[in-house]
Amino acid sequence: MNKLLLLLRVQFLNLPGLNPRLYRGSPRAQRKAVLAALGACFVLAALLGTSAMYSVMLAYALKPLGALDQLPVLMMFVASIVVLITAVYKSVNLLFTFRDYDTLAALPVPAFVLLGSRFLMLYLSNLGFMALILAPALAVYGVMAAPGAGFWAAAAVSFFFVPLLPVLAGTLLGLVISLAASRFRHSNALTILFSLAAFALLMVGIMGLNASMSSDTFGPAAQIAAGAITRAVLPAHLYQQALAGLGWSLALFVLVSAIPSGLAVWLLGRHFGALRSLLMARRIRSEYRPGALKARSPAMALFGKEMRRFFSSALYVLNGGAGLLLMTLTTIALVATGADQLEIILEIPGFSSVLLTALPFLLGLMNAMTAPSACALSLEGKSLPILKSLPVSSRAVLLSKASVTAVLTSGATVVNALVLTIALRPAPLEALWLWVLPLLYGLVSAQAGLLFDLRLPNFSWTSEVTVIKQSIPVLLTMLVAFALSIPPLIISMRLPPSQAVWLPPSAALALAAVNLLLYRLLVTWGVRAYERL
Amino acid sequence: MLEISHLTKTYPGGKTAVRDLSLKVEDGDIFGFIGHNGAGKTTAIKCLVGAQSYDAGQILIDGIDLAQEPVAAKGRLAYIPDNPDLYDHLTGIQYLTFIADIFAVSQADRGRRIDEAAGALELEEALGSPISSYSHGMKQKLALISAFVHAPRLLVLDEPFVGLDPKASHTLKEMMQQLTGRGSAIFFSTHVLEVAEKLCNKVAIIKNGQLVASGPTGQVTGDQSLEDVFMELIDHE
Repeated sequence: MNKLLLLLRVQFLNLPGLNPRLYRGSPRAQRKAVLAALGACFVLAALLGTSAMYSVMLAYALKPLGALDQLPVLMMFVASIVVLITAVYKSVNLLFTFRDYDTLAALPVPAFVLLGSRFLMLYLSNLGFMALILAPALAVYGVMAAPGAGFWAAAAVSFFFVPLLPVLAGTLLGLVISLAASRFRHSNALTILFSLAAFALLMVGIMGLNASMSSDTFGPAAQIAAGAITRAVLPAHLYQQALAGLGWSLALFVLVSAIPSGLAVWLLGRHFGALRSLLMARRIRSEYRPGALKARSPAMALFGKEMRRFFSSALYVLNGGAGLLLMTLTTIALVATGADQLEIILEIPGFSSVLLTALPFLLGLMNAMTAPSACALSLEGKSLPILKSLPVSSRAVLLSKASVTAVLTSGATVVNALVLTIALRPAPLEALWLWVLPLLYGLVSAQAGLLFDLRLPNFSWTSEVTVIKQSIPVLLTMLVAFALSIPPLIISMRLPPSQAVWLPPSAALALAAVNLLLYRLLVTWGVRAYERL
Repeated sequence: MLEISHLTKTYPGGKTAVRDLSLKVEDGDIFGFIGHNGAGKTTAIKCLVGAQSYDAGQILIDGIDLAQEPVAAKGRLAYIPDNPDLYDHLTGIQYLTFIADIFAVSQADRGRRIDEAAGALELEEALGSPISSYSHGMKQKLALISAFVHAPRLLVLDEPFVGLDPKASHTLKEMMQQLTGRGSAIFFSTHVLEVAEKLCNKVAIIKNGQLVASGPTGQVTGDQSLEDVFMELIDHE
């Protein structure tokens, strides 16, 4: 147990920026830590609020049917599915292919303890995620149903065991997929495709849920779903029974969650080395294609390297490209189902009547959420000295990193705006904003992300999950995305189109100014910051 | 070829890794840079290749001030770090092409030089494979090939012989001698004093960030071995 905790502690200390702040502790470092924490709290509050809103809507649909007690188990199931899907693409990297494996594997620590410490870390990160979905649901139920102390005791105990099985299932599924994909020549492409498909499925599920929530049949449908889930899924049944006050159900739920997880970790630990070798195996190619020697300019060489880096990791593609996928799904939904249905799916009342004014901002938000540049520098890791020793200007290096985001968002904008222009047949000016505003948002994301990464880089990561999913620059870039896109989106939906004529050109001017400012910052402060690294 | 004048680097926290370092490397020199662990060798090397900023001093590479014209200065040199963390997601040939593009090496020249160097270091069969599949020694070889692909005027190596098999070490020594025979210079750090003594026409010994000896190898060693001189200088307070 001691070794397990020691290994877990090392993982915590390796979280971005934590250890330097604990030990350096300068007032400046502490101020930075406070700001970062405030930013994280803001995002968490926003997510909690959204989750609570879903729970309230569900509660009000179930209550008239006398099925309010289904709320916790339904949200527990939804949370479990989300955790499972995210665990599928995170787990292999965190548990098996982390960089400091060789160092840790040489220590006098049993393999299952080493794996267990990584599994615990994955569990703890998903516990937080689970809390975002389940805690509001339990709170809403508590307020509306006023259950006794037994409910709260059972909820508190079971809370810590709920993520175990989804994390385990996600890990096993991720492992199977990665092992299967590693047999193929283009294993990386397969993994990326699968990850994108899983994410798209999740988004379509959420959109479908939103669509059904507005109809009168939602309540009965939710009740039926809850019944089916508790019949078919043993842990869900035990969870519901436990919350209803059956003590033995709580004990069984704990055992059913903990024992398989423990057994799996022990079993996988016994084959840890072999599994890792299989996962790390690469097809050895003895020759290279003649075209591989083709000459390019230094700028294209840098850009090509960055694009290859982006597409080399399913995690990077999924995290960096989620906004673009959402944009594409929104376009498909709009074209396939029409503006009225999209209004329901997106839960934006009145959206269909202000569609052409609001849509550029909605697409802009999705572009702004796309920020591979927010971790592009940190991902250099220990290769940074090589990059810095090359005869290319610092400016060229930074622009190559920002270009990936710019190109991806521009490409997605062109495709989606083209489809929407053909499908919706907007007036010329409306069409113009449909193209221009998302492009400008994409550029903001490209530059702001890189500036945040220059300000708060992390080169000492052992798993790229730390940098791609858990870094402060990524979080801050998302905040900027929300701050710049949500207010004009809200304004565009509040005002009738005739009164909102000024909004798109004003936003375009403001975004152009922001982009110019960010560019100046990048080529002045950014260059100096890069050279100081 | 390389002129370092009064180089000083202090890290945040107060540790001065390099203090008032001055030395010259002429065309054709194979210059050995020797010191104990933590002496400041890697810091000095990172400063002179532009991978690390420094607090004071001047670095001229082929007469070009690194601080004033960094791109031009770096275009004259090739750098091999002690632990080559190359881009795992690229194949060997992709990495070499990337370096060749950065240094604007013509397609004809890069093909010929890659073939020569990869053949000499026996890595040609692995160039199509991802770098993530390479051993440490293979990565070291790839890094060496990437240096020779653009025929640098100054080759800077940090512990180049670590991880190389004996044949590759021998080949590297020959390649170094060929490079300096064409007028380029080599500046490298090493802990293998026998190699430094045999290969280098000049050496410098650094202790706690400061130069304690520098000059032609014969002049520095006198009648003693380089190891004896090194131990004497490092142990002497």
